[in-house]
Order: sequence, then C-alpha cells, then structure tokens
Amino acid sequence: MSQPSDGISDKDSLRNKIMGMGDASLKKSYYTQLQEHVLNLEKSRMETEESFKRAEANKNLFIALFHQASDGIIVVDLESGKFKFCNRAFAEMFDYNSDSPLLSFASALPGEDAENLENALRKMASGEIRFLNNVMIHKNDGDIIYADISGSAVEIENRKYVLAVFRDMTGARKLELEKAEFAAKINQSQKMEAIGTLAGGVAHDFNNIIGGIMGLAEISLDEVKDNTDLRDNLNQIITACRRARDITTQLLSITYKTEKKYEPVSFNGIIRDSVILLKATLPASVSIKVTDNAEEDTVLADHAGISQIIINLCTNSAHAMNYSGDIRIRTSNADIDEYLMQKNPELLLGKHFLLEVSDTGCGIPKDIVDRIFEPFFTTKEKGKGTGLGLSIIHGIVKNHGGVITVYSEEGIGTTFRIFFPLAADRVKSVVAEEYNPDSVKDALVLFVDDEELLVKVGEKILSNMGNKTVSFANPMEALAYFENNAESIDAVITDMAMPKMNGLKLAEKIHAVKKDVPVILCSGYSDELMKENTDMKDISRLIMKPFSAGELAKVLTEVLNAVKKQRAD
Amino acid sequence: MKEYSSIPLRKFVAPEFLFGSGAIPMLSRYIKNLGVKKILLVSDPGVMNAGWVSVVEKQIKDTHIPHVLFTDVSPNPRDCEVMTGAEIYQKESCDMIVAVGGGSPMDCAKGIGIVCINKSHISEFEGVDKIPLPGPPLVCIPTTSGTSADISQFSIILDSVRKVKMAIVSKILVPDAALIDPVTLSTMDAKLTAETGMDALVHAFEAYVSNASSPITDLNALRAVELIRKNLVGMIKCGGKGEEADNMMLGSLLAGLAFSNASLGIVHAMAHALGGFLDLRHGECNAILLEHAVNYNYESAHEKYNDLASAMGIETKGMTDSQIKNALTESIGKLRYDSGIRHGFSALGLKKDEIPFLADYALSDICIVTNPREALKSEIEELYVAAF
Ligand SMILES: Nc1ncnc2c1ncn2[C@@H]1O[C@H](COP(=O)(O)OP(=O)(O)O)[C@@H](O)[C@H]1O
Ligand SMILES: [Fe+2]
Ligand SMILES: [Mg+2]
Repeated sequence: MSQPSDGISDKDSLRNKIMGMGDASLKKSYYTQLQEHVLNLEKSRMETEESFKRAEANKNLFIALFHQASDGIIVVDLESGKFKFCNRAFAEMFDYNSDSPLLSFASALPGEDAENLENALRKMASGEIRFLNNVMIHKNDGDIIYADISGSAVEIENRKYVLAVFRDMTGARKLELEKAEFAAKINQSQKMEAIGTLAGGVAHDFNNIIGGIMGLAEISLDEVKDNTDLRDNLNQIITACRRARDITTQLLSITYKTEKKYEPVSFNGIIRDSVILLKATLPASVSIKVTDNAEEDTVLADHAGISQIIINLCTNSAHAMNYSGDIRIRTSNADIDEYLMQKNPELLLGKHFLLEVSDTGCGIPKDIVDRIFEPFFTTKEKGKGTGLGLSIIHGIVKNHGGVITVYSEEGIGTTFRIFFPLAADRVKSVVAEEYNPDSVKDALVLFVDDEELLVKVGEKILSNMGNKTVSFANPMEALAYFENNAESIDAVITDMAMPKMNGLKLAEKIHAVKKDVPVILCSGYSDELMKENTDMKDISRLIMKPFSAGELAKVLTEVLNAVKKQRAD
Repeated sequence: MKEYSSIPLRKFVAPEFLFGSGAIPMLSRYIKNLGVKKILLVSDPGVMNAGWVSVVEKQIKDTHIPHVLFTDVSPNPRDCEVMTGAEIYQKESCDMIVAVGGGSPMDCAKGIGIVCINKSHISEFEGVDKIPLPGPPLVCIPTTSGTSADISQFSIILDSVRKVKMAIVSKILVPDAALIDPVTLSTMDAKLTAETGMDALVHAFEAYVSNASSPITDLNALRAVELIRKNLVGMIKCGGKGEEADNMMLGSLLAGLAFSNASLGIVHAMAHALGGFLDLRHGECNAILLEHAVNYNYESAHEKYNDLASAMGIETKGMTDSQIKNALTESIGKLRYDSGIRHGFSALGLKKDEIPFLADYALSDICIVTNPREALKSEIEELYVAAF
C-alpha cells in the first residue's frame, strides 16, 4: 500500500472480483470438466477403434502366415484334447477337408497314435522335452507319415495350451532310404569287382601252372614216340590241361578285362542261335518264348560271351522251374535317363538294348539275392552247380559296359534284365591268330621268365623246334648276358611280370644294346599291358600264357621272318 | 426513460440450503442423488465429542455408500491439515466431501476439495478467483451459529510457516448444499456461543458498511443484526436451546449471505492477523475489535452506521451523528460484555511490540479492500492499542 496509485487499481480489481464481477468469478460448475471428460472419452474410443483395426489387420496377417506355413501348426487344449487352432498344412497332412473339421487327435488318428501324440505334447508343454524326430504316425486311412514335432506351452486368455509344429518328414525319409539303397548297390558292385580281381589273380597263377604242365606234357609226347600207352596218358594230360585252361580263361573274364574280340553283332541273331542250342539240350517240358520288341539290336559285342549269357540264364531258369515251365526272353530298347541312372549307379546315359529273361521258378530268397553274382556261390548240391554261371555273366556284361539286374519273388519267379549300350566305338584287342607255317630252325633265343617251370617249358619247346636257347630266371642276368653276346642272339622271349625289371623295361635295355633284335612278350595276365599309356614300341609280338608249343613256334617264326625280310630290304 | 440506472451492478451467490428442523436427515438424499462412490467426512474432535459426527455417519450409512472420517483439524485450520486430508481423499478414492462442524472443518473441507481436483498445494489458491477447477461435491452441516462457512465463498487457512491466515476467495468455494438445523447449537458452551455470535454480528456490520454491499446484502445484514442483538444473550442463558437458538441460527445465516457477497472489512483483516500470528480465536478477536472499528469507520459511512444503530435498538431520531456513534459503540460493548467477553488483547498474550507486524499483515489482508475507510498502518496500530 506504499504506492497509492497501484494500490487503488489493485484494490478496485480485487473488490470487483470479490463482488463476483471478475472474469473468472464463476459459480461452481462441472460443465467444463465434463466436456473435457467427454472429449477424452471420445478420443479414447477412437483410439480403441483404431487399435482394434490395427489388431484386426495384424490378426489377418498372422492368420495368413499361419496358413501359409508349410509345416503343420496346431494349438491344443491339453485338458480337453481339443484343437483350438489348426493350420492348412496340418489339415492337409491328415487329409482333412473343410466339411468335417479336425477337432482333436482322436478324430484324426487311430486311438493309440492319438494317445501317444497327446502324451508327447503334454511333455512338451511341461518343458520335459522340446522336440521329437521322425515320429511314425498312422493315419485313419492306413497311410503312415513321419514327422518331426516340436512344441511348447502357450497361454491364451488365461488358459494353458500347447503349440506344436509338425514337419512332414515322409518324403525326406524316403529319399534317405533310397540313398542308403543306392550306397548299398555301389557297395555291392565294388565287392563284385574285388572278388573278380581276386579270381582273376588266382586264374593267372593257375594259368602259369597249367602252362607248365601242358608244356612238359607236350615235350614228353615228342620224346615217347614209340610208347603208345604213355602217349595216350600224355594226350589225356594235355586234354585236361586244355579244359582247365578254358575254365581259368572263363574266370579271367570275370575280371572284366580279358582279351575279346568286340564287333558289331545282331543281338537277336545270337538269341536265335542260342535258343536252337538250348532247345536241343533242355527237355521238351521247358519251353522258351522269345518276344522281340527291340527296333535296334546292333551291339558291339563278343559273340561267344553273349551266347554264354543266354545259355547260362536259361539253364538256371530251367533248373529253378524243375525243368518244367516257360522261359520268356524279351528284348527291347531302353533309354536310360538321369532318373534311372540315379537309381542304378552302374548304368550309363543313352540308348540301350534290354534283354529280359524271366521264369516262373522257385525265385531267389531275399537274403541271398545279393550274393548270386559271387563266383562259386551256389545253392545247388555238389556236382550240379559251380556257382560260376552268374559271376561269368556279370563279368561279360561288365566288359560290354552293360548292367545286369535281378528281380525275384520267391515262389513266383525271377527276371534278369541286362542293359547293353547300343553302338559305341571300341578298340579291337590284340589277339593271336591261328595258322600253321613251317617253323623256324637254328636260331639262338634268349628266354627270360621268373618262373623256373616256365623257363624249362620254353627251353623244351624251342629245342624241339630245332632252336637253341639261353634261359634266365633273372632279367638282370639275362641283360648282362645279352650285353656280352648281342650279336649271336636272334630273338628274345620275355615274361612281362618279373621282379626287379619287367618285360617292357628289359626289351628297352636290350634295344639299347642292339636295335633290331625282336622281343616277344609273354603275359598270363593282360591288365598291365592294356593300360592306355603302356608303351609297346620295343615289343615285336605279344603272346598270351599259357601258350601251346605250336602257338610259340608260329609267333617266333613270324617274327624272325619279318627281321630277315627287313634286313634283306 | 433514464439513460442509466443509479443502482450499481451486483451479483448475489448462495448455495442451495435447507434451513430448519430435520435438515441433517436430508443428507442421504443428496448423497444418493449425486451417485457418488465414497465420501470423505471432515470434522474436528470437538464436534465429534458433541456427537454430531455419529449423527451424520448414521445418515451416510443409510445410503450404503462407504466413507472415511478425517478429524485432524485445529480451530484455525492449517495448510498441512488440508494436505493430509487431501491425501486421504485421494488414497481412499473418494468422490465427495461432507463437512460437519464450525468454520474450521468446513474451511478445511473446502481446501481439501480444490487441492485434490487441481493437484496443487493449498497455498497456490491464496487470493481471489485463483482456483482453476471446482472441487468435488461438498455438503456442509454447520454446528455453530457464526462462521457461515457453509454458505460463503471464503476459506481461511493458516499458513503454518509464514504464520499468516491465507484468505482463499472464489465463487467456486461456495458449497453445493448447506443443511442448517438449529438443533446442532444445543451442544455449544457459553463461550463458543458468545464468540460465534459476536463473529456473526461482525459479519453483518462489516457487510453492511462494505463498499461492495448491495440492496440484497443490506437487507440480510440489517435483519441479522436485529436477530443477533435480540437473541445472543438469551441463547447463552438457555444453553443453546429454544427460540433464541433458532433465531441466532437464522441471524448467522443472514449475516453469512450478506458478507459472502459484500465481503468484510477492517475487523476481519485485523482478526485474521491475530489468528495467524498468535493463533487466537477468531470470534473473540472480532468481538474485541468491533466497537473500536465502528468508532474509526463511522465518518466514512455514517448513514449506514446509523441504520445499524437502529438495528441495534437505538432510537436515533433527533440524535447527532456523534451521539449515534457513541451510542452504537456503547451498545456493541454492552452486548460483548453481556455475552461474557470482558477482556482486551493483553489478556490474550499480545505484546505491544508485536503490533507493527500485525498491522502489516492486516493491511495485506483481502478483507481490508472492502472496508469503507482506507486505513493507514499507523491507524491500524492505534486500533490494536485501543483494544489492548
Ligand atoms: N533263374 C533263377 N531262379 C532261381 N534261382 C536262380 C536263378 N538263377 C540263379 N539262381 C540262383 O543263383 C545261384 C548262382 O547261380 P550261378 O552263378 O549260375 O551258379 P549255379 O547255377 O552253378 O548255382 C544259383 O545257385 C541259384 O541259387
Ligand atoms: Fe468471521
Ligand atoms: Mg548256373
């Protein structure tokens, strides 16, 4: 109140307000507050509406996601067992259509499976387990599916549920099984190859031994000109040796790499010839019916091998049918595509000639079907089976780049299918030809073989022919001799596989000393010669063991005549 | 046709009030009509001892609406008491206040209401028209014949730190309803009856001479003076019962209607200073000061004072102004003496050197604004001395 002027105006306005004449001198009224409250209510109502719309949009999005998922998803009320939600993938998994909605496991599955699943989900809800792999589930229609299941507890509107995801593994599992089957097939073919190699190795040694026996028998035959009894014996030994040689040659064919002549042949023609032969040997109660559906039947093949395939298969079939019934032979062309190739790793892409031989015989039990191609595997009693038939077929088919499969049902019958590639370029192998010129005489031959027995055989054959021999079991010694006596040696005959130095190396060393000496290479086992990079420049001729005296004489004569001719030129 | 009326523009605000026997039982009807959920019942220990709290609680219970009782209120209600009550109101999620008692619980209840709704400290509302939002529904049941807080736009709260009585003035403070039943006066003792009665008399006097008075407030003020003059001493003698008590309740109501709209003057300004500084009783201070203030103000509103003299029963015909002034101050002094207030401020513990402080406070009190004479500090000091 020290400043009267201010005081007065202050006082006046205060007095005015006290009297109720001020701007804000209003009686108590809730109207403004109510208005504000109503406004806020309206605002929050709009916000609620807005958030409801957003929630609705979200809901639709999640429902779409829920149904889009490729895994089956369900929400189950564990107390009642009823499904609260179930997505499309789950419904499809259990073949449900919208007419009869899936209500629970009990409505979708046989009782036991439904119960097991509910128990599993209960454990997932309690956290005892998180997932199960490859659960086998039987469906009401009898089908079986496999599923990976994961689940956990969820709470919806204060109620406990379990949320579970079912991943259908049926397809994946099938693929896995097929893979395992595929791997087993590869295993089987590797096993066959190992067995074949083993048998081939044994055959090689056998050949050497038989060669020795046969050679000595032939030499002895020459020496016992007058003693007819002894001659007969020796002739029988030689005949037996020839038979033994045939078997070992067959065995060698299992190793896939025997020297055979491949030429374009008409497969159907071979079948015709073989059937004539079979009909002559099999009883009349066995009939052979041939159906030819192959438009193309030209295959690069070894005539004898193909015929052996047909004869062996039909013989087995006749036996399996107890020599009474029909054998069906069907031929066709088959195109091997990638799908077939995946199923059978041995097949090659492209056009094939397919030979099928079926019978209505006893069939092959499942547990032995994997072994029938093994050499010496037989179910037949002693004397009736050798167990070599199918292994030989297997080898021949392999050699032709083909594939053999077997389908058999016990008590119903067996079908063998063989795929041969149609027309392909193949290198013709070196094969000794048979003819009879006059043998060469008075030559000095250096003979090298690490097998003492064969050295003797060689010496005898050559001396019987009227030639002279210097022989060594050791190639190094042989080379040393040659270095000192090069001028007097007319020809060299050497084994291929020898310790310290092989035949090829020896030939090279010899030619380093004297260029035009012919070298004849002997081999009982052709593998090492057939390698693509094998250099045959120092070899004049190749002769396969076991060779007969005649064969050796022929080759030696040809080689020396060629040298003579060359020198004369 | 006159260009303007000679009657100045005035407003008259009063709550809905029920006056008479049976007013208290009407409370349940108000509660039900408002549709509230929980009630804060504000009172003080004295009223509770007199039994009026349980009378009101019975009415509330009849409505089956829960309530909380708050009675920590001093004779001069303090800011901290208001805040404590507000805390209870909010903690208990109340949505209505019922006050029963004299001026203290009613002023406190008004404070609690605005604090709760506006979420501010009570001191934020000191002054005129400083309350942004109205408080919750408030029903007042007066139990004294004096303060008239049940119908006024005033709430006087003691600032316990500054030791000042804050006057909070706003139409918003006018309660929603007053249930005035003279039966409540039956429990008042003589001292309280004298103090509140003299307070009511001061209300009427100050409203009548206020520079904000109006014909309507005048009507109420004069009638109030008459009723109080005739019945105060008799009521004290009868112990608050009977016709005198009824008339005193009516006098207090009319005085209240007058001062709530015309405001007060220098007596209340000086009494508020004493109440804040020394925590003296409001009615007692007013009673001691009135005759001195009339003497000081007389010249500034002699016609009005002459009317008041007539209302006090003085035959003023033929008297000079100074004769009337003397007769009026004498009659006031006699009424005070007869009602039992026979001492000055020295007896209440006031010290002379405190007077300048008090004068300062009185000068800044809102009531000084409507006093008919603009007072100087020295004049106020002299008035305190005169009443020493
Ligand atoms: N068509 C067939 N039906 C049933 N079993 C067969 C057939 N062909 C071959 N087998 C089985 O395969 C085995 C091996 O056959 P194979 O190699 O030809 O040897 P072998 O005929 O000497 O027993 C036979 O013992 C027989 O158990
Ligand atoms: Fe008062
Ligand atoms: Mg057989």
